[in-house]
Amino acid sequence: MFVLTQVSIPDVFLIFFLTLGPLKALGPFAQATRGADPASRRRVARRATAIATGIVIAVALFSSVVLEQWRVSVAALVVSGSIILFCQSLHMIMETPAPAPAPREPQGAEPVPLTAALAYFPLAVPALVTAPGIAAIVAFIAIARDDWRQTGLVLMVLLVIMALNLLTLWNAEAILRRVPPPLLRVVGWVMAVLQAALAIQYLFNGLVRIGVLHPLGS
Amino acid sequence: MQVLTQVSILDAFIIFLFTLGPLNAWGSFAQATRGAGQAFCHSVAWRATATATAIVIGVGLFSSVVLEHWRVSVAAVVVSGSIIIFCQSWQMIMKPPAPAPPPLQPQGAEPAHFRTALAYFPLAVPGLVTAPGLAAILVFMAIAGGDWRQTGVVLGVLLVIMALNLVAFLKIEAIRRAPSAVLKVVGWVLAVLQAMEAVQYLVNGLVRAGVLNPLSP
Repeated sequence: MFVLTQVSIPDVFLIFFLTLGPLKALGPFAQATRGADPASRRRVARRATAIATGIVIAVALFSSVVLEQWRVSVAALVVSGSIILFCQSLHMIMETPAPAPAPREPQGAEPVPLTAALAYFPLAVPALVTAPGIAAIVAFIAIARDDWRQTGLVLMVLLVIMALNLLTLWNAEAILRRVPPPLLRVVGWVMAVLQAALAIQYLFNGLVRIGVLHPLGS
Repeated sequence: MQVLTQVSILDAFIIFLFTLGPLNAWGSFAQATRGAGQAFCHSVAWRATATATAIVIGVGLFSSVVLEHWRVSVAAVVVSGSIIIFCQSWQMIMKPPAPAPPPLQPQGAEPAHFRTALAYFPLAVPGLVTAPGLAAILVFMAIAGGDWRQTGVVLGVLLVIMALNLVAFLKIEAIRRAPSAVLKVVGWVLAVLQAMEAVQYLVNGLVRAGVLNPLSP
């Protein structure tokens, strides 16, 4: 059984893309900014991404100090992170699909003004920065330990993901116009099911680290 | 304890029947097409089933490649899939039987404007293609591994289930005449059986992972 002992860019990118990437934020952003003019939408997207970037970088830099002080092992982080990731996937899978919400305003009405608070909640948190995302950052930083090259890799991938988020939110309307909602739902489900399997794989990896599971199990 | 190392047609059929079969969708179909003409119903039935078939076959072929690329073991797929299927059964078991939905339009009123877009949402997704169904496809594709014969068995069973869905949709008038209480009871009993099957799969997954001993009773 594969046990992660070093930070690898594909693994970090995959987990961060699933937990902190644009797929989860697209729907909430489109809903929160419906009826607003393009300039306001872009402003909110920029602000939400900046806030989310600040949060994830701060978590990456300070979490290792806190967890070291609390004497939490890497294995415990991997196990807890994978459980959080699995629970989030399960929540997405079991959620009853709701019909598309009605438009906020009639055709031809004045655009709705967007408040700056929207960028903080619900966009930066919990749409962009999710609980499994935080758990993933903490786990990868713990795996990187004091190796600054590996910590740098984690931070770099985080910045790439946040740049992807910004690009996606800027083009949210165009994306949603081209992609039919049922297709988005199926993609979301498939990703959630795959994410659940990945979470269990990470749980097994964590249990191997603890010594509960044998590394040679298939 | 038996560890599933090969795709059994019966197992695949039962799980797919519960998660992707007509029991999940015929209620939505009956409700969505109430008051519509037979030609429209048939057209929607064909479109919904064709869309669902394309999705499940696509997911089946694509997912195994992704999981291999992500280095997710068969054990992890079986464990996660069985938990998802168990949770779906649990939701069905614990859900109180809902009263029949009100008709879409008052009796004697002009027929509503029916759109074929119904075939995609809510019929193909989430009526026919459900999230636990996708999890079940992943489980069986993972068990099949790279064996094309077994992969063929999974895809074949999926096609049979989709054919059953089409027949159920085309014969919706006959199903509408069946007492709804009977259908609810059948669905509820099948959900209990599905929960048991899911736990068996969970146990198989844990044996594969080395958590459980294959020889324990």
